[in-house]
Parts: sequence; C-alpha cells; structure tokens
Amino acid sequence: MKVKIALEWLSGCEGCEVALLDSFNLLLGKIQRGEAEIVYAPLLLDVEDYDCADTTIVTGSIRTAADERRVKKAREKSGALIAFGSCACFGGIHGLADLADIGAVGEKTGRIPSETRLKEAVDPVWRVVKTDAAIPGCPPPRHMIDNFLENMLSPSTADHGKTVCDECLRRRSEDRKITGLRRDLTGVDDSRCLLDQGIPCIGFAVSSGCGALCPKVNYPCHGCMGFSEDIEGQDRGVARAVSALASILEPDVVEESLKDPVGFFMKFTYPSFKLRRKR
Amino acid sequence: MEITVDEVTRVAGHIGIVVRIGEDWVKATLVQKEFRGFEQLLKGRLLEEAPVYTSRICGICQVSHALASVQAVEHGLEVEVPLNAQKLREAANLAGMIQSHLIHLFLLLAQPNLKPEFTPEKMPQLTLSCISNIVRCRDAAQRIVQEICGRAIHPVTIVPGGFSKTVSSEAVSLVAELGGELSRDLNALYKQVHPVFQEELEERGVTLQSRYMSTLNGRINVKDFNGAELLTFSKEQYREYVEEAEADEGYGKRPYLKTLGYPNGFLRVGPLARLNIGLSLWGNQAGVLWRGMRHESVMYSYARLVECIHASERIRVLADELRDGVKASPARLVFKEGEGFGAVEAPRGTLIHHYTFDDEGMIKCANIITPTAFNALAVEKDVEETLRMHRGGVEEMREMALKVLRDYDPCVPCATHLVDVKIE
Amino acid sequence: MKPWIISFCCRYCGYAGADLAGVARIQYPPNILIVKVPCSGRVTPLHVLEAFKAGFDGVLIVGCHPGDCHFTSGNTLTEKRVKLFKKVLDEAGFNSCRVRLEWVSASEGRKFAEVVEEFTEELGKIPV
Repeated sequence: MKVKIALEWLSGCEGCEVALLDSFNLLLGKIQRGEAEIVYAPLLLDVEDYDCADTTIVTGSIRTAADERRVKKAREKSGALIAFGSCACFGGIHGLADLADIGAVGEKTGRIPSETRLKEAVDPVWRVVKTDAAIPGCPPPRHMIDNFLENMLSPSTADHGKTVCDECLRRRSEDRKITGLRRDLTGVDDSRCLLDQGIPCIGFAVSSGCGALCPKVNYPCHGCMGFSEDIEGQDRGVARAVSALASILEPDVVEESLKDPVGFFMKFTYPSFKLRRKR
Repeated sequence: MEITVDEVTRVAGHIGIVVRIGEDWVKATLVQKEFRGFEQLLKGRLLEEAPVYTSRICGICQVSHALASVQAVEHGLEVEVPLNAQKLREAANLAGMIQSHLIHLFLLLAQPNLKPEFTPEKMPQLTLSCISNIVRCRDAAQRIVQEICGRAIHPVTIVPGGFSKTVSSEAVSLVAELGGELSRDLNALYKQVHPVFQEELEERGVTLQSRYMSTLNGRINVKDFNGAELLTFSKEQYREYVEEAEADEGYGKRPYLKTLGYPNGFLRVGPLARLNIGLSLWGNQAGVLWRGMRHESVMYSYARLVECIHASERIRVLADELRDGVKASPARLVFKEGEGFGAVEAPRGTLIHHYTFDDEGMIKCANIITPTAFNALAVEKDVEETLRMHRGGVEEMREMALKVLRDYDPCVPCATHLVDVKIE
Repeated sequence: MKPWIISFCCRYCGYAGADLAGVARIQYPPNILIVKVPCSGRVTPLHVLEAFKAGFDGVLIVGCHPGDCHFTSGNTLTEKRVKLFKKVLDEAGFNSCRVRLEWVSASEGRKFAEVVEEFTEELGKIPV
C-alpha cells in the first residue's frame, strides 16, 4: 500500500526540511520500492495542490494568515497531520519576536499583501488544527527522524517521563545550592553537571530524546525539545521549571541571576505560554 | 501583460514574483512573503546567545549565521580567537557551504524526478540513483559540520572565543577523511553534469552588467564588471558604503551601494561573485576549473559546483593542519556598552551581522544583511533584462523568469527583514 | 463581581488570620476564594499559572512571617519561587502585580482584610 506523503511548510527556518533531506535516502528507498509517494512538497516539486495525503508533515509555526490557511488545508486533506520540529510543536524560537510586538511593525509598512500580514501572535500548529503526532526538536534528532521515516504511520515521540538529565552523563552533586549563574564557559569542568557549575542549563525540565548532545559538548541545554509535558502542556513546564530553579538558588541571587528569564525558560516555547503578551 | 507567481516552488521559503511587461519595458518585483523578525527579537537578549538565535534565521546556512554572529560578539567585546579555532570554523563554514550548494543544485534547481521509473538523459530530470549519491555527499558534509559543531544543523560548540569543547584529533582526522571522500565524489559528479551547463549558457547568455562583492577576513571587496577594484572597506564601515531601501511589495530590504544610488547601485554576491573576484574563501585564486570572469546568471550554478570541489579540498588542507585537534577556548566575557560587526561568506554570498549592546551585555539593536537581500535588486533586474531580450508567450516568459530567480538560489527565510530598524 | 481573587492561605498563619478577620467582623471585599493549604510552600508557580488560566484576575499567597514557618523553611521556598515567577511573568508580557505574596500571622486579622482591600483596588486599575 502506497503511503501518500505531503510536506507543508509554514513560517520557519527550514532546518527541519534540511533535517529531512539529511535522512532522505530512507524516504527514497520507500519511493523506489513503491511503498510511498510524495504528492506535495513545494520545496521539491512543482505541484501546486493535491487531493489528499495519508500523512502530512508540517514544519514551521503560524505567523501569517497564509500559514493559517496552509495548515487548515493540510488538515482537511490529510489522514494524519504531524507537527514536525519545535516551531510546529511549540511555536519555536521566533515566537520571541512577539515580545517586541512585531505584528505592529509589519502593519506599519503598508506594502504587505493582506494574506501575508502577521497575526497577533505566533501559534503552534495544535492551537489551530488537531495534530495527530508531534516530533519536537530544533531540528528533531537524527535517530528520531530516521525512526519516523521507517515507521511512517506510527512516529515515536519523546518520552515525557524523562528529561535531558536522564540522558546526560555528567556528574551531579547531591546537595545543590547555586550561589550564582554565569554567562561564559571559562574553566568548565568537562565531567561535572553544568548547572552545578553555575551555567544556566534547563535540561532538568526538558524532554529527553536528543541524547543530551549539547551538554556533551559543554553547551548548556536551551530546551529545544520542549518541556517534559505533552505539547498542550508546555506552559505547565515553564511554571515547573521556574519552581525547580528557584528552589535551588540562594535567596539573594534569585532575582539577579537571570538577565533574560524569558530567553532562558521559553526560548522555543514562548508561543505555548498562555499568559503571554497579546496586542 | 502581467505574470504573477504567488508561491515559487523549488526555492527555499515563501516568495512570489510579479512581472509586468510593456511594449519595450519589463518591471519585475520579488514579493517576499514571510517575516519572523529576528532583528526585533534580538532586542533584550543576551549578547553571547546571539549565535543560538541567529542560526535559526535559516536552517540551510545556519553555520554561516552562527559564525557571523559570534564574530560580531567577539568584535564588540574585543575577544581574541586562537588561529586553530578560526581554521576549524572555516572548515565548518565550507562544509555548510557544500551541503547547501548540493541541496540547491540537485534537489531544487534540477527538479529531481522522484518517480521509481528510470529516466536517463540530462538535468533537469535526475534519476533516483543519482539523487542517492548526492544525498550521500551531503551526508559527508553534514557529518563534518557535526564533528566540529556538535550537530549538523544549528551549531552548538561555537561560542565567543572559539569552541566550547576540545575537538579531538580523532574528530579532525575524520573531518580530513570525509573531506577527501567528498573531493573524489564531487569531482566525479562534476564530470557527469558539467556538459549540461553548456546548453543553458547558449540559450540565455549575458543579461546583466553588475558589480560583484565578496568578503575575506573582515574586509569587503567590490569589483566592477571588468574586474577593476571599485571599493574595499572593513566590516565596521559597511554603513558608509551600503544603504538599504524598502522593497516595493512584501517584506524585504534592497541593499545597494551608496556611491551609485538606488537602484543603480545593485550588485551580485555569492559563488559567481566569489569566483569572479578571485578572492575566494580560501584565499587563493580559483584553480583550473574557473578562468577569468563570467557574467551569465547560469554560471552561478556552475560556480556552485566548482566551489563545492574547492571547498572539499580546502577542508582537507585545513584538517591536515589541525591534526592534533583544537583545544576549547571559551573566552571570559567582560561586558561594556558597545557594538560589534561580523562578516562572513555564507553559501549565497556576503553576510553581515551588526549588534549594539549595553553595559550588561544585553542586545539593544541588531541589523543583519543577508546575501539574498544583497542579490534581490540584481534578481529583479536580471529577470527584466532576460525577458526583454527573450520575448515569447506567457508560459515561456514565466518559466524563464523562474529560471533566472532560481539561478540565484534565493534563501527567503534569510532575506526578510524590515527597514524600520534604527541603530541606537 | 470582578476582580476575582484566589488566595492560598497557610493553615497556621494566613488562614488563621483570615479566620480572625471573619470572627472579628472586619470587612473586606467578597470577591475572594480562600484555599487552605498546609504551608505556603505548598503553593508553586504551577498553581499560580493554573489559577490565571482558570480565569482568576489575581492570586494572593499568604504565609507565615519569615522565621515563623511551621515547617521551618516552606515560606522561604515560596518567596524564592514567587519572586522568580513574577520576574518571568513581567518579561513575558503579563503584569506580575496580579501575583501577591504576603506574610500574615494568626493574630493579624486586620492586616489580612487590608491586604485584600488593597489588592482588589489595585487589580481594578490594571487593564484586562
């Protein structure tokens, strides 16, 4: 049975498309064996429209009216709709532009065709249409993509029970009291937990699945896999993460420790935070 | 006559084109239809995290964005980067360039034939097995990026001062090996595809007389159509020489050279410009595969392929020089008010990042000029000239306009910025 | 009957204080729902978030004065969490004035009433 696949893209950086191209041979194999066919993919094919698809992969998040139209059309025409990547799942990093109220900036210029006008705020896909599965990550880790392409109709998603800490091999101290958070990585101990060393790593609250690849190279986790909640519960993840971090900070450093708290707690998930700024 | 394409397929991003054709004139307008506002979102962010944000401007040229970004941070905070780290960064940038060029040439421009039946002959209908080979080449290039940057898409190890973790000698050896493999595979690919370019060349010829711009080690060079040096300036001086106008329609800026005014001050960046200027990323004259200056837009594609080969060879040379590995060198960050500039050659051309920040190291303002923005005026003019010279029916003209647009390999997620940015 | 306030009061101090206000017939605005918790430390940013999502206009957390916590350091924990969450809310574009943390002992019935009065008035002034 040939699986019809469509690839729809909203507002994003196309890193997820590139990630899919990285694993393209898996898909090509299926096409060659007659198991799958790509019916719509504006990036690759000159096909303007399609009748229906069994699975539509949606990347990017809803920033413009055109994005909303595209994702609604994809929902209508598809059996399964998969939110692929952190933008589709949570809104993504460009959701932070709403802090600067860019919707207003876009309107001022007046030369913008109405369909490409910016919406009031960025929305992840699930806020607008029913989503059948979500594959987070910026972009999703290679093995998750390979897994997904192998098992087209039943993608594995992140295990919400576990966090990046569970996958991280760094040594954690038993009793944590952090006296300050710092902004550079000088003198970092390769084997100790980054947070213990005062480096702001949010891995303790973030869904596992990536193999803690950032902490592995001494870089603190920034949370691109989303919090260890389902996609509609990311704002709860924010609240929990705030609670957890505040609990281990010394009282006198709590307020001063993070100069960009939204950047720390909601880098990829700001659009999922219910209490965010609205115009 | 008016030709409108709402959504151009086989380019990166959402872009449309409107062409109005009169008796003896043609007016082409690119309409960029997406906007995410990175310059705005950077306000109030931590300066040292700029590379994390800006690599998400584009998932194709993310290594170049991260590098231009970290350069601007380092420049602003007066952070030194050890030579070895600089070389390894260059290797990562070149690997990013190879994978980007391959996407464009063989998965977008060539319109791969994604059907199981074998269709032989030339581009633009590649067979499935050809595509598999290209995917494998891309894989090698992405692997190089991963070994150096921590992961293939959106680099992690690029921090102010160098790399966040020591890149082992095993990793560098692997990079050298992959560079060698790529070199062989790409040379073989070149032999297969280069005859195809000849036909396209004859069909379209030279349509645009333009200036070419490229950057090396923080210095930006502009040469004119005949190869004479027109301008050279350091990245910090870009605003004295480059001005940005608003596009007529859609999101987008149209940068141009101040001395020549708007719109005459258009220029071209990217593989064609780099090979024409001869000041390529690796600092030598381009070798046997490229001679003198070529101006046909179709030569962009040929230049892309040549660059891939050069880049793979250069990666191997760099990796050989770094056989002992590259030590981690994150810098101590001392924040004070200031501004910083970064300029690198991204796959599609010169990329500039410019930030101003306060004494706590919070970004106040950001201005980012991408190669696709630099090329936008040239694309519009090229479409106009091409259609003026090659009249035909609506369908034919439409296809020709799209071909010209695709020659430039536009990257729309990069190119949509607004002019309302004031540098404080 | 706007604005609606939900108040998490710790059993040993805050709630007792609110109770005292009632017993002593000290008037305070009726638009408040009081929830008794064993310690103010039981209340986390998650409760604050869910309260706002449920439609409340203000969240008032009432605990023991520093040093007097029945569980020793529950109130310290809450103070740190609320401080950080308020900062996050402000930066995210949500007015953190809607979250209030107060220390009220069992004997401070009047203080409880005054706090509710003040908070109600303040919430009335904030645009929705």
